[in-house]
Amino acid sequence: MLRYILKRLAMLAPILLTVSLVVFGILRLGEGDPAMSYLRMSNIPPTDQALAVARAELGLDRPLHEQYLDWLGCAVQGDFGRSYVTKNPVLEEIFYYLPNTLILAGASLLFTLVLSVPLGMVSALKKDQLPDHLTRGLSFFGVSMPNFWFGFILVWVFSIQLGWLPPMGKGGPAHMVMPVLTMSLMSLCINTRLIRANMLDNMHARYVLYARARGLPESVVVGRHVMTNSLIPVITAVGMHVGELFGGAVIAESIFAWPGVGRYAVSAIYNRDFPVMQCFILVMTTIFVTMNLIVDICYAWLDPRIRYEGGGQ
Amino acid sequence: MTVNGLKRHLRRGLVAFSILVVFILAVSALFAPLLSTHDPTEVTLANKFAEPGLDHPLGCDHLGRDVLSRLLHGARTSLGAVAVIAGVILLLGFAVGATAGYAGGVLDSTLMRICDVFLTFPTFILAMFMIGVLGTGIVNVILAVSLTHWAWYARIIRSLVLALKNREHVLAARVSGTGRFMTMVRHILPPVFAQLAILATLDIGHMMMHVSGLSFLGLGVRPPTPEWGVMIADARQYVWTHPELIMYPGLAIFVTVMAFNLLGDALRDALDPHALEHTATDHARRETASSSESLQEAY
Amino acid sequence: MTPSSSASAQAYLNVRDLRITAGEKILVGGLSFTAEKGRVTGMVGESGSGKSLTCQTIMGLPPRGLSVSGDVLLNGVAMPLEPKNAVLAHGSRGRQVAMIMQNPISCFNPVCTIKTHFRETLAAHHKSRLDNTRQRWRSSLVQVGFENPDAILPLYPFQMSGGMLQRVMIALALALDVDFLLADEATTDLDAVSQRRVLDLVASLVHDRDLGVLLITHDLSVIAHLADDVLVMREGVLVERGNVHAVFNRPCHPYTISLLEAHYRLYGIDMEASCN
Repeated sequence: MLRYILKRLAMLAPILLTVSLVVFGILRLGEGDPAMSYLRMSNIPPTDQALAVARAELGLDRPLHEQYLDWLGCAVQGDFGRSYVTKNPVLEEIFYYLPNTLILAGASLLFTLVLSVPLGMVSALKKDQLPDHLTRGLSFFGVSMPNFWFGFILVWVFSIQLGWLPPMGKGGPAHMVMPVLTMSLMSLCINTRLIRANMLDNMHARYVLYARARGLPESVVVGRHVMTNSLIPVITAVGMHVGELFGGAVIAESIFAWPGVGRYAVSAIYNRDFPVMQCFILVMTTIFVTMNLIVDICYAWLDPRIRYEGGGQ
Repeated sequence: MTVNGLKRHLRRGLVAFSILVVFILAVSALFAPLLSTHDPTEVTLANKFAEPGLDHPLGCDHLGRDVLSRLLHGARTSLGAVAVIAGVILLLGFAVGATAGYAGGVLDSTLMRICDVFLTFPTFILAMFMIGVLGTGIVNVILAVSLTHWAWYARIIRSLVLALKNREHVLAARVSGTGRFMTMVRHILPPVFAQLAILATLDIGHMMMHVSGLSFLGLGVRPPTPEWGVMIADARQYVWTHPELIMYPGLAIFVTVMAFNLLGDALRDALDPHALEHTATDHARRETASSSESLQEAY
Repeated sequence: MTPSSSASAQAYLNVRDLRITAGEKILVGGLSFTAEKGRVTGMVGESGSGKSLTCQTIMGLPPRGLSVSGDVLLNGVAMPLEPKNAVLAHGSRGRQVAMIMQNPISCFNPVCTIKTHFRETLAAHHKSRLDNTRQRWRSSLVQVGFENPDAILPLYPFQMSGGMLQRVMIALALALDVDFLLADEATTDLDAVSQRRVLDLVASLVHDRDLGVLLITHDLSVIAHLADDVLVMREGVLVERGNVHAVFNRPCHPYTISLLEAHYRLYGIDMEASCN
């Protein structure tokens, strides 16, 4: 087990390195002339002289791989440059907004997992009965609904018509309800369907028949055997949900004016603020990769077949 | 009428409905200029928020543009973009995945490493970044969404090919002397195509939501091109006074995605690749760090 | 020779007019037979003859969607045959009669150790006083041929072979002191050596503990080797029954004759000569 963890941890560095390479590559490919953008954002007229000075400052006259190594060196130390717009260090600004996004994402993930397990269970146990049809129908609708539309429906219902919830801004639980619902919609429906499918597979598995044949009470059979084997694959799905939730966070922050890193990044894109954009993707990807690593380790811990990697007698 | 009979009729009805919807969408997309009564980009402030009537069946938006015409042209933009994206992804994913799966060895490893790189990023964020760097506009949206999605397909196709490669009937063909290429064409490609058709149909909804999501954020299609996501963004400030301007385009996206999802489910039931799916799923699960194939059923 | 009526009164397992249908289709039609402790009753027939279905139904676990009628009596007590009511019968399931099945790896929970399987089985029958329990596990594992039971207990099912797991299934039955064993194609996918081992084990248990066995298989040589009585099934109906010597020596029903002929042609083994 320890070997597995160490092996995965060791792969983390090369993965992040590759990520940085790709980001740098896309950046240079698309940025056009970074010097131009810099001057434009700084409101300096792009005279030839100004361009030359900017190029030297930004190190653009050096060979590409040197630029990359420089850039990487700075990145590792936390220096991602300064925002073209605010002139503040980028990492600081990202970290200022990041917790807000993580709060929403964390709450959404929790909401998804907590709600999908009982829903999926009931749906499977009462297969082809009313609770199952309801859950499946709603899940289907949920998966097909664009989350930005859903967000506005929520606003219309709960803020405008009913006046129960504040339509925007950051705050306590009342402010979080609608953003979390908006973000969780897709993941919740997918997870519920996944749990239902897993449970149905497992309930007709042979080991369940044998468990019943040994005289185990039904509550143990379902509660321990079926549930455990149904929920373990859900761990793997969490990694996928996190990616989905990051995308949803950007949308929810836009709709509900939640001051998170997604909204910040969108405005950075409008302003062609390259330092912010690159830091944004690097930070989010790092979090995503780390989450997937944790997920894989949890999965290996829970499923002995992975842990022992098929070895044994 | 028994419960089962009722269910079967319902299913058939839903499938028929979804085929109808897709057909209507295709027609709208292809013939939008002919079907629209007005120019979707024509700003007529006199018509601002006009009520639905004979002239404007769904009314006008905040700039006096005919909503129905915008919806029809929006179908063209959204569906067109998604069609191109699907085409690119399938081609690229197939080329890479089938080659990797069938060839094996160093080629396989290299191609899969490349896939892994793309799969390491959260898709929407990567698409945002690409657009940030390349600029907005429909071409860049297509490029960004394609590049962020193809790797997943490549992996699945590779798993499928691997699963099929070692099936008995393929081995039998090889043993009896069929060349590698012919084996590929006759025994491996047909099931792969079938599975691809199902995957693509089920995923169209996802792609459409990314395209319109990006457009909603202002990172997609450039105004004044009508697009459903953009229409929602335009109307957001009027949610208090004119919520219907948000309803129409949202409903359009919703119905479109639902129709393709229904169609994909029906295709999957019809072609019944379950056995294949599970083998491929097991292969892929062992390979990918973050298993997305197990979500196949859920999708 | 058919069992006399007085013998059927003492019979441990008494199946009367068991009928299993799936809608219009009759899967098992009017099956009646008995099986006693201390004897091995073989049930033989082709795939699809309803053997496994009968076995599962005797345990009270028929597959969903089938309608079942008839009586199954275990030691004189009627067993509920509907899965709903079977919840009530779970006390006797596993305690009086245990089942071992083919493809043993799929019968165990992949994420639980053998120890967990033992623990929960005993706990389900309220035999979980700690000191007594561990002894039971170990002794039952020793009885089935594992010299070092402590090496087996912490293993996961995927770490063991089919033959080993089959013996663990028997050990689980022994840990509960069952009176009767249903062996549903238990040796079908084992290699010859493991098969022999398991069959010898079953034979010794029948002899030493007066265990009754219903041995279900399509392999006639296994029946010849181990069974005392044989029931020949075809398409859900019992076509012939009797002492194994008698049936294999002088088969009456044309189907039995064809089965024996097919076996002889395939393996060249004279069935009557190989009966013990």
